[in-house]
Amino acid sequence: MNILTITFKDLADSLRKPLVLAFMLVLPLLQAGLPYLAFNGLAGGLDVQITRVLVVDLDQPNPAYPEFRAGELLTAMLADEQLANLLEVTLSDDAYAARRMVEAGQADVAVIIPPELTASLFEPEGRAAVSIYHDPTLTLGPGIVRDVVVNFLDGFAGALIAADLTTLQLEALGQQVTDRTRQEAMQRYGTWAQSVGESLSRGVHPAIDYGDPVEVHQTGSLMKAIVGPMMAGMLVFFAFFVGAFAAQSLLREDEQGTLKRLFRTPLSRGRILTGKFLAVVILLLLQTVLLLGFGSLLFGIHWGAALPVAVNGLGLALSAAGFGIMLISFMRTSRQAFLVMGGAVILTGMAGGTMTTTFASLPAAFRLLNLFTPQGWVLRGFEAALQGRALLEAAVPALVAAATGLAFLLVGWHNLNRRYS
Amino acid sequence: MSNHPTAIHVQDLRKSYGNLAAVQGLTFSVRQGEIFSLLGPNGAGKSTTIAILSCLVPPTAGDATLMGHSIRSRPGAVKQVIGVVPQEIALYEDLSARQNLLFWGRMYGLKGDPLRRRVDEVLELVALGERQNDRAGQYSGGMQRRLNIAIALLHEPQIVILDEPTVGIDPQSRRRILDSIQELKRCGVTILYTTHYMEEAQELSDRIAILDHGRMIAQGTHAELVGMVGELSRIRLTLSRKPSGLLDLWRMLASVHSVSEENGTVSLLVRDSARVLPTLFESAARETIQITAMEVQEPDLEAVFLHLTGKALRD
Repeated sequence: MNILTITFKDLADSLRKPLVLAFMLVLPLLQAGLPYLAFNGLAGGLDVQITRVLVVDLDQPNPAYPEFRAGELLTAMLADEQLANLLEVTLSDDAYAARRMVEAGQADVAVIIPPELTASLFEPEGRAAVSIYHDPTLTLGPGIVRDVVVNFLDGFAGALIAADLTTLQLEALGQQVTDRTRQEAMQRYGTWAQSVGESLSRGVHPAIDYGDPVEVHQTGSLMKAIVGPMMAGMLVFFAFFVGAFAAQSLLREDEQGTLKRLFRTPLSRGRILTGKFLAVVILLLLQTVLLLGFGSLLFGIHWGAALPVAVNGLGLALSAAGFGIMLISFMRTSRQAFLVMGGAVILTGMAGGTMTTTFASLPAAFRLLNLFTPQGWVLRGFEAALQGRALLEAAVPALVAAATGLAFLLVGWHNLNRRYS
Repeated sequence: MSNHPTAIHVQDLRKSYGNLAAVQGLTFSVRQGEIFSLLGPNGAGKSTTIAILSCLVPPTAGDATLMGHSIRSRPGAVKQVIGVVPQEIALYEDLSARQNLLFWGRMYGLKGDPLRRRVDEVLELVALGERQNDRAGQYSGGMQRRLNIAIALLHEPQIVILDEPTVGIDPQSRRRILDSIQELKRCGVTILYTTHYMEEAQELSDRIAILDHGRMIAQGTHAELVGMVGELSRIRLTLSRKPSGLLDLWRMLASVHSVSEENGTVSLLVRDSARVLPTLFESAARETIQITAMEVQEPDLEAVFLHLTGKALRD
């Protein structure tokens, strides 16, 4: 009971300090939140004004392939539902009227597809120009339209090149090349180009093998995949700050004389130190729960299954508390501790990889270096939970972190006992 | 008083920090219900002795028992029967006086209604009841000192150890603290008091031990200690001109033990200063010599310390 009295007193004392609250909640949320707010558009949630696009499709079919019209494909691409939150497409059959509507501010962009577009695609020397007419004060919307059109035309250019290359190779082999063969080559190229485009829209290039920590395919959203590990990194980084700061209560009490007074009560020194250690652990658990909760609510992070997350939360609290107690056991004054501990936590935090969680291709040596710090182990556990790996994969790093924390505590305990005896 | 059982017995207590001997073989006893003061200059070993008796630091040698419990073998029991008022103000400034007392009371195992009742009692004793809900950090130095004392009294200890509790406070707060200590004595509490203010030791103490450089150089009642330097008072006079034959006249007076003169100041050791002073003034007037300054030093603890160590207590 007396132990808990010390614990709750210390806990209340820490929660009264604005600096603790800043390190505990405000800074980690800001660190993870600012990139989220800046790049949330990649997740489809960008809050930008919808661009009103007038499409004037004057394209005529090629008599040889009457079922194919490039203008129709381009129109469908602009009106795709994936772009619905960016572009509002309306059809028109009068290029002049469309331009007038842009000038009158009734539309933002007019896309005029010329009659010879399809024909130009089938003729080796064929030329056609798609006109984009827009309000010069607008940049984002017309830029998107331009990108879509350019991608479309590049796709066709690629398809023609694919068809020509196929023709050359087949003729070199002495095989006959028909229009059907060329069409099939162009279709295959089109299918491939479309799959590449889809991958790129998710931020994944098919030629690059993405490993840990970002598991884009599972999350289904690039930002969620980035913010999850980033938030985990900030949680671990700032938890060690909070642990170190809260552990300083021992030094502060030593300076104000209350520690000696506590030692003069019938309570043993072991129980007094236990009470103080528990206060740090509970504060860190509180921080972990709140940040995990805010991460889910604000950024939609799915932290993984409950048990691995809980085990890692406990591992984080024990390791950060033990680390803090050990550090302060080498310090003499709280002023000294504030400076030294700041440096120690930043250095070990960086070496532990808490600042580089979103970097996909880190050197293996750096990943190895991570494991020489308690932060590295905890982070690995959280990453495993985020990626939905097996319980054991998430729990082992957490257990290593917890064991390290207890070892740190023993070192701190030994130093403090020697100092105050 | 001599029939009272012993509350504190200290036997050949020693404490060294490396080559520095902070306490060198202290031996003394304090009877139950007695106020016993340790008097000495800074660095005399008073606070180290208190730290050992309150089980904060272990002795290098020797032992002490408090209410029969050895500081070596039963420190837990010792801590339960003593209340220590440390020299520094040791309380939580962010908490109110009441919150401080509730916290420290729990540290001594008090809880519930008995704790709340006891908190009310000690707040009354140290006259902080009206401002009990104010943050301790907002208190004056004197009020913080009183709260510092109140914390030590919460668990109704049989022995209260006060380490220089009146350092750096105003006379009014000092008076309140000294009155509180007298009140504790009336309640039968044994008090071990350290100070370097001889007036406090003289006013409060049943017995006094004088410490210097970790050793006890004398102990006894105030009268016993003063008796060590005899009953002679020292009178210092500054005269308007060279006295010539006046000093021989004063030497012939029966109450005057000795007369000396140095740099225009005449020092006399006399047996009864109150009776001899008028004679000194009359004889000086007859010689048309004016006494321009006068200082009478009655025998006191300062004189005892000077007598025993050859230096002033406040050095």
